[in-house]
Amino acid sequence: MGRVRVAVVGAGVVGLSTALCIAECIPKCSVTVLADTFSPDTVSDGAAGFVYVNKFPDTPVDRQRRWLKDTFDHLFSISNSSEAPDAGVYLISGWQVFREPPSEKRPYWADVVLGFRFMSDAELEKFPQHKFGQAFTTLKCECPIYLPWLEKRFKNADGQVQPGRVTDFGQLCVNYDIIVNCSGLGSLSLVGDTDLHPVRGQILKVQAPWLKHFIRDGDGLTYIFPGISSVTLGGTRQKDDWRLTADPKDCSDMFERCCALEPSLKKSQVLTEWVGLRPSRGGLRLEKEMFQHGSRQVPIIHNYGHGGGGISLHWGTALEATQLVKECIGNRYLASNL
Amino acid sequence: MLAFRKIWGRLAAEEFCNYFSVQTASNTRKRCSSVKGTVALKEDMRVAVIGAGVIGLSSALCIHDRYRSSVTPLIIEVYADQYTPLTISDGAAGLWQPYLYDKGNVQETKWNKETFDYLLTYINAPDSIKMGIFTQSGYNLFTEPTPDPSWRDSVLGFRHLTPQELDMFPGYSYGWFNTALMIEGKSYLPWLMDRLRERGVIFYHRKIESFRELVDSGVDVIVNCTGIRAGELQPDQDLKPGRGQILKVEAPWLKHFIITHDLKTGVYTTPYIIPGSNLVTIGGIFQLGNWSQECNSQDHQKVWESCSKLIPSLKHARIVDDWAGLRPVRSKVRLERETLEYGAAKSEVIHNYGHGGFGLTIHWGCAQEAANLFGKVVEEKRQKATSRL
Repeated sequence: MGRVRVAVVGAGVVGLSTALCIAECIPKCSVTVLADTFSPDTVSDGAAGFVYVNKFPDTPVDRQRRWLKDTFDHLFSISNSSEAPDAGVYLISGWQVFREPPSEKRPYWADVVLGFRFMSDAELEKFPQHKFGQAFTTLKCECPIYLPWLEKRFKNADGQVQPGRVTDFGQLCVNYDIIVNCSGLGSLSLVGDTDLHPVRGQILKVQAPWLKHFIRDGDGLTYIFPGISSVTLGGTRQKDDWRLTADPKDCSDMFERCCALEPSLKKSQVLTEWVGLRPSRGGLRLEKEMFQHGSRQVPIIHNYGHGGGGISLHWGTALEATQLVKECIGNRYLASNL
Repeated sequence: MLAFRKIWGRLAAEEFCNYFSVQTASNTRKRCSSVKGTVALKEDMRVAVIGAGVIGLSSALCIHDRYRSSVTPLIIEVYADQYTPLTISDGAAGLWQPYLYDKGNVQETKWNKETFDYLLTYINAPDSIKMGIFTQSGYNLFTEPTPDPSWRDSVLGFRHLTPQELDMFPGYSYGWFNTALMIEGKSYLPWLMDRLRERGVIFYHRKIESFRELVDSGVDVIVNCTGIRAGELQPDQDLKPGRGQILKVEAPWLKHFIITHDLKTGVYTTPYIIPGSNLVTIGGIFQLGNWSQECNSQDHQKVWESCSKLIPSLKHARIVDDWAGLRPVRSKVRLERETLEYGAAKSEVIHNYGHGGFGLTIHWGCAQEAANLFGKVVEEKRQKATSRL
């Protein structure tokens, strides 16, 4: 049995990490990444890279927790190594503050992050509009640095990259044995998945190097994430909004909201603004599907619909997708020997 | 009294003061005035602050703020041969953190806490960035379980490290996490000077060779904030240099301070990493008795290697600067009054020096205490003056 040819569609954080995982964990695979968009133009590149995730309503919590933990552990070990700045991965501490105490004060990810605890009254004095808060340490993963780092590792593991838009899986079936679909919002047309929808996010990047803590409002709409060379301010969550150009009204509104949380931002210099469309879905789709191509059946491992949790969950879903690929190969081997 | 009111005027006032021998270095500087039938002694007090580091400037500001309405005119002069950005306060990383234990010196713990609380009130203020104030969280690491520090209730969110956090630091088995404040001298000192200039404080770029020099010129109160060089004005066996050498590196991915401790070798002898608003300060040198302010390559290597071992990502950091400074080390801060007499000339000195490696950390509490002592001087002068009426 020769090499197993795997096509990974998509070169965002999910595509590249999945491709790398497969290339490193399954030596008999020959992996090619096919995409029309690469770093620094992917949705992953604009995201702040803050490892934290909202619950997917349609995915079991323990499965989400496992993805988050696998990603956290993976990034955590990078952050402690000398590779950290090359990968754009580092630790950050801060606060999530709520105007009213949430129903779930201790979320499912409390023991995944580091040092989770409730904020003291003294700490909450800095946020006069907010009555409850959580303090913890988590990771940041900046894709404009991380994606090229992943790609380098991928190529070192004999991975191939092929720029070009994939318009239907059929065209891949000729040259590949297994397809891994990490096309994010692209699955709308590729798969015809109507459960998938964009949630528009606009952010600002400002110069405020004195800021060392993240501050996130529990409503998920206002957040401040200090980065390596700028601070990301956000944001918006506009369902089914396809606009890719920045809206000045969103801009001034989020700047005002962020300054209310962190007054020193008034002194910051705005560098740039950016818009990305979160590939959102009720549940993250991570499963195998058999694609009929003529007389053949080609397995497709779907790995998309990460919404705003792409970076936070990428390694966990990459590992699970890799496991599904292994199972496919196992079955194939068995099948070919029957 | 009646005679005085009838002939009220400056000349008469001087005669009045001379007649009653009001204690002063220069009687021509005194004026007396009548206020609603009682004689209130209006003294113009001349205060000379020696030293323009954080201690000198904050003492000047505190005294001016508290007494400018009750002592008129209040003339404050600052004398120093070094101003920002060349003072020790400028070189320090600027992390608010006292030594671990006050060893019974509860005054110092109180002054540290007062400083923290004072700086915290500015954290959301428009001037915060200009002042060089911002919050930062981080780690204190130990090789064995250690009692909580004297400042555990001053900082925010103090807690012990979890096993998972300790995994990040091989070789360290115990530690703390808390949120503290940064107060960067390079920003704070210019801010203090602006505030002082607004209040009419005059700055002299001059080295004071002796207290006498100022006493003879008619200064009423000297505030001695001369730090490590206090011994040049008045010998002090307890004051010694605690030499430090630091590197400033570019490592903007670091968002926490990390301070290691070795309770046997003492404070600042083991690696510490303190990100600033621009660069990261790394250090771990404390040499008691070493007066050299030159950087040396041995200490540079030691700091670089030990900090890179602690935080491997530093290997990629670009080294931007080297700096060495002398912490003004003393068994405890000298914050007290002394009366100096040179013949007929007499002045009060308020000593405020010997803050070791925690000058920025303790400065405001000490400035307030210096102002308290100043207040006592003013009160005593008033009582003496009015007792002669």
